[in-house]
Amino acid sequence: MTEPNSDCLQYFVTGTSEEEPRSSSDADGSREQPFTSLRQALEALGTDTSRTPSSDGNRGGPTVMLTCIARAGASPPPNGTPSHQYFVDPFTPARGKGTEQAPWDSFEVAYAKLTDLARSQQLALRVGDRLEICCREVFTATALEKWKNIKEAIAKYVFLTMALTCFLPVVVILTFLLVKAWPALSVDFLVTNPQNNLTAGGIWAPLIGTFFLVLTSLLVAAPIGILAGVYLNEYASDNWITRIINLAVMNLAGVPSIVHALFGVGAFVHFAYMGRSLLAAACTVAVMTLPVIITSTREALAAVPMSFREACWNMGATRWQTIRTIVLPNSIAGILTGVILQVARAAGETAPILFTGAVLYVPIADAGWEYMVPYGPNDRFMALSYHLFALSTQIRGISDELLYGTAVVLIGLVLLVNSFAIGLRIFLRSRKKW
Amino acid sequence: MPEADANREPSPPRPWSMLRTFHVAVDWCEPLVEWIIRICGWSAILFVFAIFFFVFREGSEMLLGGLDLKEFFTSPNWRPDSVVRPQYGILALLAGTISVTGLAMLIAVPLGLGAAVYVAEFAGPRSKETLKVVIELLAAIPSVVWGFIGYMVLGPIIIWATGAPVGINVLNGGIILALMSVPIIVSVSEDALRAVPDSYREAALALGASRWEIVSRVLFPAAKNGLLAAVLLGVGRAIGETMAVLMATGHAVQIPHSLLDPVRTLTATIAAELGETVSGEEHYGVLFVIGIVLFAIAFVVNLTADLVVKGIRGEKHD
Amino acid sequence: MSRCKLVVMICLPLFVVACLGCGTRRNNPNATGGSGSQQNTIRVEGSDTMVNLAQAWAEEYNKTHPEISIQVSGGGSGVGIASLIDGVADMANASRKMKAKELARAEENTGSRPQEIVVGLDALAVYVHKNNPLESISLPELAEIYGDGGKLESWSALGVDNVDCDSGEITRVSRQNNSGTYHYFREAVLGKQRDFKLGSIDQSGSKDVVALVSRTPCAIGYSGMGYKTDEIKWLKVSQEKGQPGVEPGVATAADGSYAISRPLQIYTLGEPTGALKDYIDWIMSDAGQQIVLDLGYVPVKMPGADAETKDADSAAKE
Repeated sequence: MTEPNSDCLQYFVTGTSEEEPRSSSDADGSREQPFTSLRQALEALGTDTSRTPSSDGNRGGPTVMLTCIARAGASPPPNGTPSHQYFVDPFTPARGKGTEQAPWDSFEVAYAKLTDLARSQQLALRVGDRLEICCREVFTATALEKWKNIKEAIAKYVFLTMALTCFLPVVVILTFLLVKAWPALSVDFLVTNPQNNLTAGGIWAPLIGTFFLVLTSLLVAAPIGILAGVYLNEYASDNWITRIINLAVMNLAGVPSIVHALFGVGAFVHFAYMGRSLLAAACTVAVMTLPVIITSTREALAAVPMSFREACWNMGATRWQTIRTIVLPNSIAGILTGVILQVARAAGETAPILFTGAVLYVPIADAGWEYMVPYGPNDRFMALSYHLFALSTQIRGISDELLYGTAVVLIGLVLLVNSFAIGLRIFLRSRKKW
Repeated sequence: MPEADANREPSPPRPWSMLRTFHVAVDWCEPLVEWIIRICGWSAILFVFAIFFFVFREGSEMLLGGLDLKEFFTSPNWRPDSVVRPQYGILALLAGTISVTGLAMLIAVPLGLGAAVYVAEFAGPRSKETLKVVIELLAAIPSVVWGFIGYMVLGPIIIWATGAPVGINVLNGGIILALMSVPIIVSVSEDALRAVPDSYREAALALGASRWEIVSRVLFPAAKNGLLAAVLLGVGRAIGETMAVLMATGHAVQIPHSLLDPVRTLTATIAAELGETVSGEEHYGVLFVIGIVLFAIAFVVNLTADLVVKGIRGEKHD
Repeated sequence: MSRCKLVVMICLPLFVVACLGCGTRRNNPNATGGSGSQQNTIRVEGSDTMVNLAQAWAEEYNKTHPEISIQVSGGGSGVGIASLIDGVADMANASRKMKAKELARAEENTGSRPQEIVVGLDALAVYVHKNNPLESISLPELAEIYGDGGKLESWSALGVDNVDCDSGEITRVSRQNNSGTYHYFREAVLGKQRDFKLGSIDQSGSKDVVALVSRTPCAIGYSGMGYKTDEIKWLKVSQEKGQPGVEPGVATAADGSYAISRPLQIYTLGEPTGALKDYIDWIMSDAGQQIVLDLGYVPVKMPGADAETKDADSAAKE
């Protein structure tokens, strides 16, 4: 703003000492007839549209200047840095603050806001001060451009609405479940056994059953899954067999859970003579959740830079030594994330355990060792997911709180475990060393 | 690795230490370890084959003899324990599966793609992270809980809103399945959109395209294979879902004529009836044949999705 | 590697595995179980109608005999009988008689003939929504509603104006075909040679039926009388149209005047021995029979009155 250009509209204001008040009709803002106060100047500019610079067309950013001189006719101070500077940008959304980052959207708004400030004495000019309202935009919008902007805003909000339609109902429903379940939820609810035809008491027996199911399935799935991930990332070359393994992993994840259940019945219950038992159910669930572990192990291993391995190989280490001492320790947390995700998945599954070992009711002790470890590998067991299914379809005279409480505990358990995995992943990403 | 052992040979003897012995032992075992790893790597193939083998093993007797395949696929009468004559026709069950899945996809595909576009292109970094976490959590909600929601919460709402006689029907199942398959559609198609190189976006921006134009004219065509794969995986998830549809669709053997008719799906039929059947009997075998049908559907869907995704990679190499 | 080849390479082994599966099916092992029938575990499976009963017995018995673990699961009479035949259950609850074919299978599979013990009686009540003005229904009318080819499809045809039901159509709620309730209702209402009309809403549990009917003004359903709640009403049932209906209840079921009542039985493999015998003896004792009464069923002998109910017992076994 060194030289006022042709677009620059300069007005003058006398100092704040209003020694010679005049009728405002005389004042037109020229050097000879300056406005007597900032407030008067702004009001005059705001009401007289002919004084507002046009921001249409392709003229470069017009500027409005208000310079404070000692008295009428006095010469203005030399151009320098303005003491107050505000910005206007017609193409921003409203709600600006007048700063360069958040400009106002028109001169009218600028006048109105500044008038308010002047009225409340928060803004005043002293002799020699200069206030500038700059229009920032160099290129101004054509009608086409405006239409484009509107379209873009519409698109954005349409997509936002779609995204929210996917998630908000679920959030609402979950809140509703939580509210319905609230009276039942307590520590007692978790640690007491179901009583009185499952219509009273808590959910300890199914909870601990789910725990043992998950633990056993983890013992089966984790070693196989991790080693399979190691094979795919460290050993397999990019050939057709790898391609088929990938396809198989994808298929294993895509096969309907009820087909896994059929497999469990055919393979573990009948063929392997396990009968309906914790072991058979755990094996079925393990096969089903294997892809979760394989995929995340692969990702974790792939995140370890190749240079680590190369450095190790150069020291004469074999492939397995490299994996054991370099690759696995560096990716253990990522692998753990996958394992935790498997846990969450296994805890929620119902269909595969329906015919392979879950039962409606097993009386278990209320205290002692039997309370903590109620199920052996050959026993049938209660599981939280099956318990919810049975409670909602088979048990009569059950209170809503108990039903909703069971559902909420199941959701809570799964979401908690999952959030833990996600949190771990975010934490790891934030402190990645390479 | 024999070379490694050869390198070790000339080294001078060192004093015995337990740890070293252990390490030597471990290294000596290396071929063994490698074979174990290799077998675990192949285990995925093994399991897929095992699933196929065992489901076929139990269903084969019915499939090869006894089952009238024409009736199986074309008759709407599912009367496995009829006192007159057992009839195993899965047409009505297929219609149930197709109607529920179709409705779910009608809802989930536009919403899922829209949400993916928002997450990938419009959302700021913070809301993007939040949304992705929410999607992941939604995907984790167990299916029995979805069934519970459909049965206890959505059912009464549907009765209230539409005046339908029963709240558990195609509409209920479709909505529940849509909500269930949205997360997978969103996350896969978001990956696909992100995989479009930034240079495409920059080129479009330089030509003066708005973001909406970038999405519709540049990103969708460029990512169409990935988006198709996302839809296919969503379909796969919806077809294979069991507990949710068992509880939310009403479980009536009929070909639906409106959205408010209760239906029964293939998966729910297995879940409801497998327990009662005696291994080796006809009904048991037929349920495994349905299992084969489901396996085949899932296999084809996944294979197609895989080939479609690999299609993009092939194009990229050109 | 062309894509086509890949598909062939995947499908060919699958085909071979399928053939293998077919080949190996018929060396079916005998009973799977036996392992679980140790002294202190009793595996109980079967009827949903009786699952509450079985569970209550187990819970109560466990208080005095903590060393015995009784594992109860429901799923339907068919489930229990199937498990008994497969040898994976020690005791099956059934709300229907085992068929001759099943008895033979069990003997062939496990070597011992199932023994039947009647533990109580259950009356099947016909439920409607509590605002339904209908009070009484006859067996032929029920048969026309539920039976294959039946003509009764609207409430007005029954002579009532069901105001709350907008469509006026009767929504049939039935049970899944694995339940004894389903089989017994078919036998008692439709006769031995008629199937259910397809298209009914088949619920997986007795409680489901009651819950659904209580929410659905158009619905009619059947379930054990023990499932009655305040939210629902049951109909009086008459043998022929025009005759006075009989309300379900302990007394009417016991004297046989209520048309749809049936014995509840448990099956064991061979004569019960050891812990299982103790348990069954306890069930037949006053303590066990009191629970039957408490849960809304009809005990075979009234607790506290020993001698004179012996003939009622034998009548029930009939």
